[in-house]
Amino acid sequence: MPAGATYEPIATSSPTSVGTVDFSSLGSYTDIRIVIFTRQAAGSATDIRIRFNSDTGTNYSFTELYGTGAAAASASTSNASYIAAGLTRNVANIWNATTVDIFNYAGATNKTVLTTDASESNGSGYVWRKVGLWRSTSAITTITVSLNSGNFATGTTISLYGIKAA
Amino acid sequence: MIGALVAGQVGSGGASLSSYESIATASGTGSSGIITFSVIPSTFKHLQIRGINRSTTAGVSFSQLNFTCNGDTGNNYAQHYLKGDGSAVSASGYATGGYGGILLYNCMARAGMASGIMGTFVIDILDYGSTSKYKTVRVLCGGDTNGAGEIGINSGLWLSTSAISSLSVIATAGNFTTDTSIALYGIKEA
Repeated sequence: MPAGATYEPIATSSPTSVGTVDFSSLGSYTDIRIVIFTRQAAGSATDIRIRFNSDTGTNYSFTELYGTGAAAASASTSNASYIAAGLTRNVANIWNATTVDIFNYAGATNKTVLTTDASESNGSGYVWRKVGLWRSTSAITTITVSLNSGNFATGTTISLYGIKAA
Repeated sequence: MIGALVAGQVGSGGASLSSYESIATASGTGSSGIITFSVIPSTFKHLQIRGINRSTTAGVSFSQLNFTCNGDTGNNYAQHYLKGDGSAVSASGYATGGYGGILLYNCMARAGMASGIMGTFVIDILDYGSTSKYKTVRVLCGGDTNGAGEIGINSGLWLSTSAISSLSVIATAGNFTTDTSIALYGIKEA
């Protein structure tokens, strides 16, 4: 029988004048989903980056599959200091939609994530799917969402949800 | 994924009003290559399976998982996929092919990889209780080893109008390790 409702909201941030948001107090779940709806306040297009437990070492990697509107491609990045989850721009009224699923975030294995990203810009854009790895067996206790450059535009929302298995 | 559409809400009393519920979780045993969910309530509209997994079999490349409904291993499935390995993209599909299930490409980590590396997947099963529709699934799956990785999306079809009463995730190489964890969730409609 079902163990009860889950997929619960943990926290939401609506950042202004900053390019980094930290989440702690993650609760007790099996997986965490981050839903990021963002635009860049100024500057050129920039990565949306994910880090765990304030680790800025080169302990991350990711493999991506994407389409540009003209072609499909795949790329990988190893020994990175972050997982690039998406791309956001400074274009009026155009918002980027990103999800990040973090599996078994409190478990003893390395941490694997799956991301989706819709980076549309009316004539240019990308659609992305990525798998990312944080090479650590530590339980994730904090999550940092940041831009590679610039700040989040007002109206950005970053929400965490917890999914608890039976 | 479906979950984004059914995000829970918190009522004034603090109780969750989420339509997304945990049904069951299974862990690998190290001695079996199949995990089956056989108690699936009919009270949901859609299902989602989320998992991390690893095979007991040696190897340094990700291997496939197979996904079946109601124990049917006949040629009653079709699918398409798009996947990338970090440098190349490929796409293919089959109609009522010979796999006896829906393949989840390259999302099972193997014993030759560094300790702690896991493959992962999310499977959405739409309208699983229908007795008039074939069953459609969609998949996001992959794995990364810091230097090699695989990421893919699948659409799948089980050509049956039977309501789904059991779901199986099957290793195509070896058995599931004990740190494998696969969970089934149900999503209600209004």
